[in-house]
Amino acid sequence: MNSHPFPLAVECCDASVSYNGKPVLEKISVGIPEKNVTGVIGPSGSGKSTLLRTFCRMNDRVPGFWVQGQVRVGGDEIYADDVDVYQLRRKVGMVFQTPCVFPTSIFENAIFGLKRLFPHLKKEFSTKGEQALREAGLWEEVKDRLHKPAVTLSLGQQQRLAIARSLAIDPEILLMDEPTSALDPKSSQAVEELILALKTRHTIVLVTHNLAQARRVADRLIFLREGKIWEAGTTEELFNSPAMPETRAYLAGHGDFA
Amino acid sequence: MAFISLATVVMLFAFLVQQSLSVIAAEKWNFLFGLDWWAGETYGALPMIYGSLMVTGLALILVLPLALGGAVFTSEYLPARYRLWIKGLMELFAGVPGIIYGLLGVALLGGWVKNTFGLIDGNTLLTAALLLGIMVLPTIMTLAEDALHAVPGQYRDTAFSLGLMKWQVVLSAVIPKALPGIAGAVFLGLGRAMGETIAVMLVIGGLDKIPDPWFNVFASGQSIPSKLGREAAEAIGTDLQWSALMALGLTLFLMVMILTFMGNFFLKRAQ
Repeated sequence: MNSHPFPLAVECCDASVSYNGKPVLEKISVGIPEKNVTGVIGPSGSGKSTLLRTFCRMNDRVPGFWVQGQVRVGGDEIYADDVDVYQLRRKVGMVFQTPCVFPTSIFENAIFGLKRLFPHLKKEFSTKGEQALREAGLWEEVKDRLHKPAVTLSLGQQQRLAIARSLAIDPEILLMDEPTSALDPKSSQAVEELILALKTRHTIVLVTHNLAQARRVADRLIFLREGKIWEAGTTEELFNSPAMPETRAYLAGHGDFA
Repeated sequence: MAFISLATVVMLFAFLVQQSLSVIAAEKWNFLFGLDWWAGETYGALPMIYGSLMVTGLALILVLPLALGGAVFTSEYLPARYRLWIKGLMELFAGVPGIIYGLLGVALLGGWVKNTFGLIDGNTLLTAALLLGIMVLPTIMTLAEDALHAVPGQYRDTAFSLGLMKWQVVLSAVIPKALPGIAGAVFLGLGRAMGETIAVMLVIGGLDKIPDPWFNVFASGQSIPSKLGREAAEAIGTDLQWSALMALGLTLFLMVMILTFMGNFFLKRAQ
């Protein structure tokens, strides 16, 4: 697994995760290439979200969380003792299932992280905020009401605002945990297009339940089942010639209806 | 249900107004701005209005940092099992009757204020404010804590995922989201403090006078409820004095209502 032809943004070697002694991920070994969209698919409870959250150490606060093995981001072990978690999370952004906007204006939401991480860049807030909103494809829709409360946006716009907020601190990797599952089809499409546009500059890891979406946007797929990687490869490989019968069954829609 | 409660409030209000008419007719604006209250002669309520505002305002200033700090600490930093312990304790304290606080105030707080500040009399505006602060602390703290604790974990996750430190997450994500609830807790505490009678009555000194200078909190004073508590029994059956007390009650009622409306206004703006 270690001799990939392309540079890896994230790499796991025998990584296992458990909560209060209950194993959730077992001996995960996988590489996630740079500037690609890697889809994580699998039945509910297979550990997809846990895997995603492991990459930016968002599980640290969960009581009873335990990780073993190696998880490397940009070549550096992120569970080593001397790792600055806060620095790591600037490098590895995360977007959640339901968009979460803070009770402030649209613009203040866009620069929410930026403002607090780099207070000395005050002069650049407006240009960086605009840039992030443009990158998230939201600028044209909100440029005339930047100072209106963010909750006045539609759910789909809020999700793109959440993405803009992550982009404003310029992460190398963007983790997305079912970013469209709470959205209507039109907003979902906007987010999918955004993901494709973002992969030229960012590495994207996308957890999704929507197989059609995985097929449309992912370059590579990881199929998780019962906390293990059952199969990983390019999207074409998995859809056209899956090696495992479980993968075939899941992709044919027999595996999970959640 | 809403109609019944509205009708009750309106009827209560109408009754207070009707009962207050004769003193309003006799005193006009002097009722609100007069400095002297002599039963049978003149009824100026300003010292009591001043006393109520001063004592509750001061109580709030004294107790707010502690109550909100305690709420943030309990909700965001304390492990879950200690949290429930603190919550139980706060709710226990919030349920202690006012008279018990009053007795403790007389027994301990009055003497402490007297000795600490070298006063002749320990029954002062400050003593009442301190006692009120202690009384509303558990209410404000536990309700504000509820508001903080009710902020969905998603807000914390989102802020953490941006690379913010714990204190930044608390300060810029959790507290703003909980602000309406916190404001509600503060206004509820304020309402309770403003209406508290017996505990204040026992330690405020019972002097119908605005101190000189007005901010001298080491002087004795009088709040609206303590005045009512002291005089209501002897005023029953009199004409003008009873009316004056009812007008005083009406004033308190209006003050608490204004506070509630202000609270709602800020709540809406916060959202």
